[in-house]
Amino acid sequence: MKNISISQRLFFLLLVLAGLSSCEDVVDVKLDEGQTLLAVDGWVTDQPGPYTIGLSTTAPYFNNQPAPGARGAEVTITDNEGNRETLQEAEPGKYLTQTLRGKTGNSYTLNIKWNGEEYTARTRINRVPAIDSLGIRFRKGGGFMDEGYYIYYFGPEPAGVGDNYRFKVYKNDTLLSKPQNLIVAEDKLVDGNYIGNVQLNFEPFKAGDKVRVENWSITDDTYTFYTELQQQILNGGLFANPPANVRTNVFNRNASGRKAVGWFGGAGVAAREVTVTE
Amino acid sequence: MKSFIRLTAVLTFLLMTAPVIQAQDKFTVSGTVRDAANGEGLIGAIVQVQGQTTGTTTNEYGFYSLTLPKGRHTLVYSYLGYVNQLRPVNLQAPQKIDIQLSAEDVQIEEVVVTSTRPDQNVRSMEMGVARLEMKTIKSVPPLLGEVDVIRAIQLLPGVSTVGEGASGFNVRGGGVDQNLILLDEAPVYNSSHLLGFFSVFNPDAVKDVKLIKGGIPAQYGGRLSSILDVRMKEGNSKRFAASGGIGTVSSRLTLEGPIQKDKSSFIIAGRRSYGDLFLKLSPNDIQRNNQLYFYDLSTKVNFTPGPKDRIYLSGYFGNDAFRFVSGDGEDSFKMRWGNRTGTIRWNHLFSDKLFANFTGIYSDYDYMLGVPTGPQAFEWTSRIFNYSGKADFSYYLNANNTITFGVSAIRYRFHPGEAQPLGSETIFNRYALDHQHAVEYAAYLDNEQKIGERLSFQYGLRFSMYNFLGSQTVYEYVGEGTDRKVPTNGRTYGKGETIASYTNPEPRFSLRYALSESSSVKASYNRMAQYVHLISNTTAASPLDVWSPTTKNIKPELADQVALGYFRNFKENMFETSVEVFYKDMQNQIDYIPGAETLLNQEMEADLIYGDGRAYGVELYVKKNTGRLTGWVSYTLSRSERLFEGLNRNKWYPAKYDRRHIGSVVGMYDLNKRWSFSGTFSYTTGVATTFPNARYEIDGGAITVPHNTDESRNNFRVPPYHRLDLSATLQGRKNDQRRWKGEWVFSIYNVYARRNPFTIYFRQNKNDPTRTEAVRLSIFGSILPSVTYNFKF
Repeated sequence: MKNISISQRLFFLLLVLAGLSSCEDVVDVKLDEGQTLLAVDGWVTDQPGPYTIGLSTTAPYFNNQPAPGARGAEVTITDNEGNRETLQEAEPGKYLTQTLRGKTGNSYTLNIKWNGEEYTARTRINRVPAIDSLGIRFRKGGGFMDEGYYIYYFGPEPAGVGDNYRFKVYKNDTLLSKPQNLIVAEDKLVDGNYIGNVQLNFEPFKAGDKVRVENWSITDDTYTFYTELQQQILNGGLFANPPANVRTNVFNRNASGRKAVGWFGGAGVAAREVTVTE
Repeated sequence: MKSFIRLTAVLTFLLMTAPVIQAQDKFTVSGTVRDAANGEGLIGAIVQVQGQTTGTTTNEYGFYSLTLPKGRHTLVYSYLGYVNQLRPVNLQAPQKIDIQLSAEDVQIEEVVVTSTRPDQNVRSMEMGVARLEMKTIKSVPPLLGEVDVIRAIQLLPGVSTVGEGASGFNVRGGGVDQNLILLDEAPVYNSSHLLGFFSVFNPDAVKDVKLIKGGIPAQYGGRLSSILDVRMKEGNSKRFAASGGIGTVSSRLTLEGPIQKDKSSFIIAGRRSYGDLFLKLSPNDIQRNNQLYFYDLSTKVNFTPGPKDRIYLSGYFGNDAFRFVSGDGEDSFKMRWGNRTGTIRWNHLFSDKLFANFTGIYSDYDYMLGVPTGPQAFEWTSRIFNYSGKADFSYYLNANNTITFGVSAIRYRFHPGEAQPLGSETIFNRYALDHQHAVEYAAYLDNEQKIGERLSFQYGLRFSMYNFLGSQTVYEYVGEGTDRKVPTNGRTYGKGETIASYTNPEPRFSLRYALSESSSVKASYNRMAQYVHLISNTTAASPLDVWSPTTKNIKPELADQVALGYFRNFKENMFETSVEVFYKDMQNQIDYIPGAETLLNQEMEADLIYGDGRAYGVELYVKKNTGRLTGWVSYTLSRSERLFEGLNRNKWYPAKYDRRHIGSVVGMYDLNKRWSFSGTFSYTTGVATTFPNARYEIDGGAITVPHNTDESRNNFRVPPYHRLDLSATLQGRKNDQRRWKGEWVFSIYNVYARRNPFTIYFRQNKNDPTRTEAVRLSIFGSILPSVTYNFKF
């Protein structure tokens, strides 16, 4: 179910395998400082709110501090049924909904007024299939795999091409959030099939770990956003993609105005939990 | 196809009848020039009338034809590294003279003094052409003991690569797919083994390598930047011989010999790597059942059915294979890729002035990758087929005019990708991209004409025609800038129906003016059209990249190149020097939207964008041909830029092949009868890449994304690449009693262990994700010694 572009990463593996003494090291690079842009990070789901829209600004690349929040923005979300809600800034740069409830099949428009500019972004909540169950198996280590417990996904994939997924795995209520934990899939090659026995973690769990798996149904362009993101944040190797900006769906209403970055997403969420036992 | 046959017949008839009309105060001397030791035809040997500039060179089959006034002449036959031969003739009738030249003894002390040295670079029409003798290629210090044609080519002016281990090479700022790589006239679609570390050519089976990067004659077409013409050995027609080697990476064995002495011969050469051995050396805990290897087999036979005919059959077959199995055997992954080519050629002499070669070619490249077992079992394949037929004629009209003409037809079949589920457990469906079909025809006519002692011209026209054929449903793609385009106006075409058709006249022109015996200036112009494109949006082309035909949306790539050169030899041609400047303008270049899906994507064209390219520069070259120390120094100052709507704020930006400085020094030194040494130093400006100037967070702050707020492309340079390699060769003791000759080659690659950056990329620190860092990836971070033993008998 994972995208076949994983083969590109396997190529890098191959290179390492070959023992050709390839090596990586951190180097000092002098970078220019770019202009400051609004960065959006927000979601609407079919789960009860509140939903958070995070607004921050871009920072110099080697800033090494949490991104500065964008404060004092006027943030609204409207849906295709005509519901409209203005979000409240709960803490600097975090804007929360109060009443809005996401619904499968609806589309949502985010409007932001900040710093004299007006931005807009659109998304949609697509259908999400239920997770039937999660399997747990103990695997012996060796090669590139550590010994431990691995989680397997079981569930249907609804007929009709156009479903895309992001799988989020939580270990003891904490999202596994490193770049390499980002798992997205499209249904182009698996449309309508039962998805059985697909391993979701690459670092093993221990007995007693509480594991939660969420399946987020993401839109086509959100899927593209994530594949671009993966290309950029996991970008080593001989067959790396050239560095490029990751797309955004947040646009300035004034085409010549200052641009924005980031993503406003919508998703249906299905979840399952399981505790690893020996 | 019918018109193609008719045209061939008409041209053939015209030229066969032409000689009859000519007055008989001139006669033709023709024949072949071969190596006395093994009967191999010598390509580009010079045949010259002593004391005059009148002369010619042998063609790819060792054939020459020279028409001279009646009477006495002395012909000088010469070839670099061979002893000249003088042949007095008294021309009273057409004469056939076959010559066999002997190689100079390799020992310097015993060098036979030859009257003249070939000064082909000054004298010929060719510019932007580099011919590398196998002897030179074998002297260049190898990587891990593997002598490599393409690695040697990268030491020539105007040639570069995007990085260590990258597949292919870049010529004068062009892409890797803009080089037409021919192995015995069959196109090779992927010239690399083991990703890009080694090339597919077995050095023991190669006779001659010629790279044409400018002033490309009308005979060649189909790629924008260069022609790499690799000719395989014909096989020793005098005696049975074997040669081979045992190296760090692979072992080789070549067998050759006469089938019927001096009439027919064969050669068969094979190689296999033992990369599996690498795995055992690997510092990681890797299993024994993992595999990583390549092998190839090159073979050729030739027959001489009569004095006017010769038939050659040649074939190449090679594969790379890789298999990975996880510790518990549950996850496994395998992949394989390879080329196959086959060529049948028939040389026929219609007269002593009209040489013809008819060629039938088959070539294919395919790859497979898959997961053999488990819930994600699948097999994904992709393939390109190429069938072609050609007729090429050389008509040696008189001492001042050589006319070449011919026709060709190529039939392409593309299977861009198919994923097949395996087993009952699999979650995958079958997914197959439409097959694509195309034909490419070309006809050309070219004349090389001498006007007086100093001036010569070569002018020609190649006319190419291309049809993209059904059956297929094709769409138009609409969209702006770098957004994914949307398919509209779908239309279904029947089998064989023309979907899109293109024609391109491709004029070619060059001139040479001799300033003196040892110096000349040359100028050239050529237009090239390219109808197949490698779709690759990674820094280095990967074996999974797919070739795409020109379609309704993808237009033929076009290039116009002008070049001007000054050629001068010194000290009886001991030194060859040249300066060339070039400017190349390219249209319909292909680039990709960010996040383009180029594989297994039926709507791949939605992710392509089209733009212009330009490359220009100056190339300096000094070569020392003779003496104990031989070698060359080359330096290129150049730029290669691209302009695409929506990229880099609609301004020109440096292409990934842009290299401001490319320099190399190659030295080979024969110390004594047993020891010889060589060294190469190369320097290249770093790759242009896009660096971020900002970062932002998503996923609630967990993921930090690099960003360039100026929307610049390739705004930074990674540090320059430079490397020194050395090698020493020890010949076995000479023993005339024994036919066995052995040699040891000791080499060191990357002598001072420079960590040359392949790329610099940006990531979050693994332990502290709020920290971001720049990471240098070096393919080889250390010195790589190797030992190879070569033998022949």
